[in-house]
Amino acid sequence: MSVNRISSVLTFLITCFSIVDASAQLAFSRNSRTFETVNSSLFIKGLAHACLAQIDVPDALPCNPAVTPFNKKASLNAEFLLSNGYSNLQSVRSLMSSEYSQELIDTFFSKDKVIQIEAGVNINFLSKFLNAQYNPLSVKAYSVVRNEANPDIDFYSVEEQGFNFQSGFKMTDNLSLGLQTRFLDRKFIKQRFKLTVLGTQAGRDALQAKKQNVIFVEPGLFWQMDYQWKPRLSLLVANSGFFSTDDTTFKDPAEAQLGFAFSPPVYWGDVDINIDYKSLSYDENLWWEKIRLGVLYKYGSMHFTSGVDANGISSGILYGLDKINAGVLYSTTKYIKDNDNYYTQTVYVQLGWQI
Amino acid sequence: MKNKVTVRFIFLILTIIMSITSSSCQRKDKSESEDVVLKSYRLIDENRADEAITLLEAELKITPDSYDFRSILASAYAHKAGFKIQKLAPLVTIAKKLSSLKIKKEENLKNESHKSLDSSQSILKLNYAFEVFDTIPVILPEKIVYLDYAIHLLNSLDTKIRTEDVVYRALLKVLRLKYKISAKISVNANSNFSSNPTCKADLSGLDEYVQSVAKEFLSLIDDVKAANPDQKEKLDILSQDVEESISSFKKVANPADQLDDVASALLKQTLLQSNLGAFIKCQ
Repeated sequence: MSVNRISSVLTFLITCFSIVDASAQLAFSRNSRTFETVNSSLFIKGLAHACLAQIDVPDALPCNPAVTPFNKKASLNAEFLLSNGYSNLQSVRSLMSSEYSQELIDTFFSKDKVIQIEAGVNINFLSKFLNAQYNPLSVKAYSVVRNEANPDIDFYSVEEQGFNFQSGFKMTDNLSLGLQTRFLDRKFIKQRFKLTVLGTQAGRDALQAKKQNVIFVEPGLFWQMDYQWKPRLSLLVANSGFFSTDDTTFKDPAEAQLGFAFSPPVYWGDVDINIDYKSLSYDENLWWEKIRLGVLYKYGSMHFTSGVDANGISSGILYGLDKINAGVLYSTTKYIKDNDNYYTQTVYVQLGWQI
Repeated sequence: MKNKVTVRFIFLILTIIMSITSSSCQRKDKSESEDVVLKSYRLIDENRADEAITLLEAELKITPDSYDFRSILASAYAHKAGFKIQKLAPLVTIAKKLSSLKIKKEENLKNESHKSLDSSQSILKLNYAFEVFDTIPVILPEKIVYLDYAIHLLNSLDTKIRTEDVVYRALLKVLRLKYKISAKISVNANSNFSSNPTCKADLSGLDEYVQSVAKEFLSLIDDVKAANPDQKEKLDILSQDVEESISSFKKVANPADQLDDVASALLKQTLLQSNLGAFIKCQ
């Protein structure tokens, strides 16, 4: 396939953006890079999760297991990610344990009446044949309160822990297949409720955290073309698996995800441009809401990332020293979401240690 | 040739960015027809309750049966009356203290000691009750009409009312009750009342007041019962106690004119000490 043809097809698809009626609206503003069931690193968030065809992911496993044979060297690292709003962590965990207190209510009404938090630890092992990740704990929560006279609260909180294994093999020099298996234990609450519901037993019961065990088995395909700009095509069948309960709180249906990337040559450093078509579990009803664009500029051990999608924009830097890497990322829903008055801004920091 | 391909890719990237931006611009335009519920929430949060009321009343003219609009309109009026729910957050702490209040009694204690422990527990409970009363925000007299209308709107939901809105109505009734009690208590006692022998306790006025406060309190308990059926038994007993106390007070209050001078003076003194000077009338 020629670069010109790829370009034409994508240009046609994207031009359709402007004629689609943007009728879907989120009831409340959201966080642009933290999603209920997506466990992603700072680097991947920076790319707006457009990473399916990204070969070099310095702080996590590749997004597509079929990329495994392209790993340049084996490594073992631990990464700790934290977002702003970490002071709410205790309140969020209190709600998960159904411990209602004055502090909890005060937290809901804290600055801008928005709680946002993501924190997690990942231990990653990468090699040419097998990648593995252990996630001892990750916590994600988001809450927004509207109507201070009779508050209507949109809230979710997810605690997850689990393992992720990836393996892949090259069918030809440019084509590879892979398989990813994820084992997850989840504890979660996702509700939109009136605060006054806490004054009833039935309401308090409805706000009990639920538990779910999940096994995802996700096959992938990766094709790298021999052109100067190294165009790459990636396909992943995501979220296909088994759930311990029939709970449909989270919309993570099995879907085919498509990624395309290329690397235009630049004088200094390397540039990767990624375009993905995939859901990230918010109510993304329109097809163009699933398109994500991520740009990486790599210079030495510095990784500058930028991303844009229907959820927001993000930009960050990840810097690696010999044994330690550190990064910071800013993301916002401003400029993208409907109401400029209701937008969120999030700063993530990540610290990693390479063994 | 190479340059041509480069230009095409640059064009592609620009198109992507412009398309996403143009899509988001369309969404901004859409915000003008934003969901009425969210728009009224936003107006209330921006202290523009009047505009929220205008918006919701206009919508209710089109869809008079809309539950949500009516319930949000009630909250808009409550906000106009000066009510924000987070002001009640300290009540959670007090409620916790109250529910955990239990004085451990040793088995080998004498009867008198048991009695004193019971009294201490009652005093502590009373103390918490005062704390609760203090925590409840005060509605200004010129704004009570909005609170009344908010309660009226919730009452108009009748049997369709959801339990969370029953709780909300109960909270508004608590404010109403505090207003009613404070309105009388806060009346400054005239210093002449004490020395002027023509000033006497207005027991019929006091009776009328106590009856109306009790009525509101009982209606409040009914709402709490409806929201918490598991507490029904306890709350039924409380309602019964209140009704009994009121009826015995009525018996005492009715023959007020028959009170002798000593009893009348004692009652007047009690009312003055309790800041209930509003129930003393001078001839």
